[in-house]
Amino acid sequence: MGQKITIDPVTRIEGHGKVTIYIDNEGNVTESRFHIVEFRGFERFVQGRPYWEAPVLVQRLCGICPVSHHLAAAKATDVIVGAGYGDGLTPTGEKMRRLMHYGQIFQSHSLHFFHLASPDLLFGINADPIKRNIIGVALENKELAYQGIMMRKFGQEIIRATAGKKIHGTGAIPGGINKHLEKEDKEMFLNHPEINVNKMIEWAQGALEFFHDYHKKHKEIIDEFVSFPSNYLSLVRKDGALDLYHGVLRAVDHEGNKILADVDYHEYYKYIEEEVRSWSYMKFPFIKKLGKEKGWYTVGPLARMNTIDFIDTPLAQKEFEKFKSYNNGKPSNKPMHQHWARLIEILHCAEKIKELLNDPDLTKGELITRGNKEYEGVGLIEAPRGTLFHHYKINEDDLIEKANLIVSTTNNNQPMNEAVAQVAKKIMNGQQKITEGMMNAVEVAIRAYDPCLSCATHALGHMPLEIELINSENILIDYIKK
Amino acid sequence: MSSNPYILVYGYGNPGRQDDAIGLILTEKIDKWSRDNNLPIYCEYNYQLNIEDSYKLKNFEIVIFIDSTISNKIPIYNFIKVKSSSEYDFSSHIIKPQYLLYLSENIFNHKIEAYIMEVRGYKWEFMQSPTKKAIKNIKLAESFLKKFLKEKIN
Repeated sequence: MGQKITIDPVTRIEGHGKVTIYIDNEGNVTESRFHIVEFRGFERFVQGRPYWEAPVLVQRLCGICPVSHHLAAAKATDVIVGAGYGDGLTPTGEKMRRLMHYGQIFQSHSLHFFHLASPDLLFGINADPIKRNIIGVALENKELAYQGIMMRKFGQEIIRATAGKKIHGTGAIPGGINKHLEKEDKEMFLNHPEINVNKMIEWAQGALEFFHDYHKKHKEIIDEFVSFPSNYLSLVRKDGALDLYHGVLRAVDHEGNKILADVDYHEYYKYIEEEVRSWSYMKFPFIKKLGKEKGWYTVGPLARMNTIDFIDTPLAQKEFEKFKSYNNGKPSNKPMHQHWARLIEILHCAEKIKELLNDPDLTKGELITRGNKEYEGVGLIEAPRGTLFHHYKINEDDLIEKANLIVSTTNNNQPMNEAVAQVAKKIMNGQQKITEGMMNAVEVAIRAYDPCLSCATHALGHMPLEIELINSENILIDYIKK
Repeated sequence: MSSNPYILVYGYGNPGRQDDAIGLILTEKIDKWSRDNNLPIYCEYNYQLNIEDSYKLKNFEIVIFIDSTISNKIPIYNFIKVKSSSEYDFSSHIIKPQYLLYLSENIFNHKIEAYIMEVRGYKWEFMQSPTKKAIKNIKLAESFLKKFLKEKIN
């Protein structure tokens, strides 16, 4: 006998991921939904606070990606203090922020690939969960596991050296930065015997070799596991290069045709709207001119590889050319290629970090720019998971009146639902029970997007993933929780 | 702090979410006490645990992780000895102490004596100050921890 569905209070806990799969009388999947409970208090939290507090306050949203929020808020408040629209900082100000940002992406991507994705790739979707983790990786390939941890550490040290400290990092301030890079830190990053930037470049290349080798042997997982057409959105530099810190807004369709042709992101609201759906606590952004049904888009590493024209660091550019050639010059519509794209970005960030460490502007020069005050500021940045939007309006007393935030995972809400839907249809059609293998497959699909499930507090419990199977009479017939 | 600390006290949480700051506040108190008395204790703070913390563990013999808890099964605090475990969540946002111990043992070949101190919290809104009840619990936990650490050092 089935059970009636009740909405358990646990589903209101942030950081919770739940998948609901609906089946018809023949056991075919008719619909699936990926629910994410996103914490929605941020916009109210900052209201009434002085705008200059925003870059520090916003870090409290997330323990894994505070730097992205820190920099997006700083870019928005740059506009407010009259420091320009993204390219008006001093050379030292911009380069220190870029170093911080590349460190952030480097460590975040390394964490994801080595800690989360590589077990899936090394052992396959149906492997025993006991083995399918970094310990399993360590036993099969100890060097890979070690590198993953040390790459994370390197990126975190870059953040410490630029943001000032691990908690409440205050490096980026409205109009610039509040410190230079210490010479001791520069020396350490360049010449430390165990973890230095050259080693990071070498390991990033090694990770790509590992991936290429794996890809050759497992095309069915990387190319065929999940595939669907999507639009893609990201910032690109004005000349079309990959630029994770600043640029213009570009969107392309699944064939590579431009939908948004390098528009000014300060007016993002002219091009992007957010839809609310009754069954989810998270909004669904879409490109206005395409409408709700067709206007959803993907952001993140794969989107960036699909929108850009080239990469301005030589080793990553070679890898990008391989990526483009493999996909016949068109966008890749295979979500598992996120892993490939992520590795190209790890390499790019390592190359950029090396360039910046050798730049004298980081150890001397003016830190801050100021100009004529404005009462509204927008800051966009390419966070590890995709395009991040921060938008603030202030009043005459310099207090934040209104704030709007679109985080990367929100942008990827529909793509994640598409991926889960495809996996559900592939694996669960005709089934009446959810197996561990099905749970794993759904996890793999979601994990490709590396969602940030609003980790602003972890004390509410660990982050479960739940799958529920519901029949045509709306009765819960199976449930599994991990 | 003594020149050769061999005990790591690691508090973690979000200082902007009321009682989520418990781990950090308690660690700060232990830090001050340790410095004032020149004890072989090193204190670390972070939003949450990270996989590279497994590398840090290799420099210590004992680690105490301090965190807040929402569990109503814990009226004030809970202090337990823990072992390593390979269990992990599907997101990169949660790393458990037991998992760090497992990484430390298997990648860095370092086994460490480990404990978790969980202190009961009550509210998690976006505010700086913890609740009054949480502050009382922190005081009691602090008293226990200082006694425990003194015994370990002597």
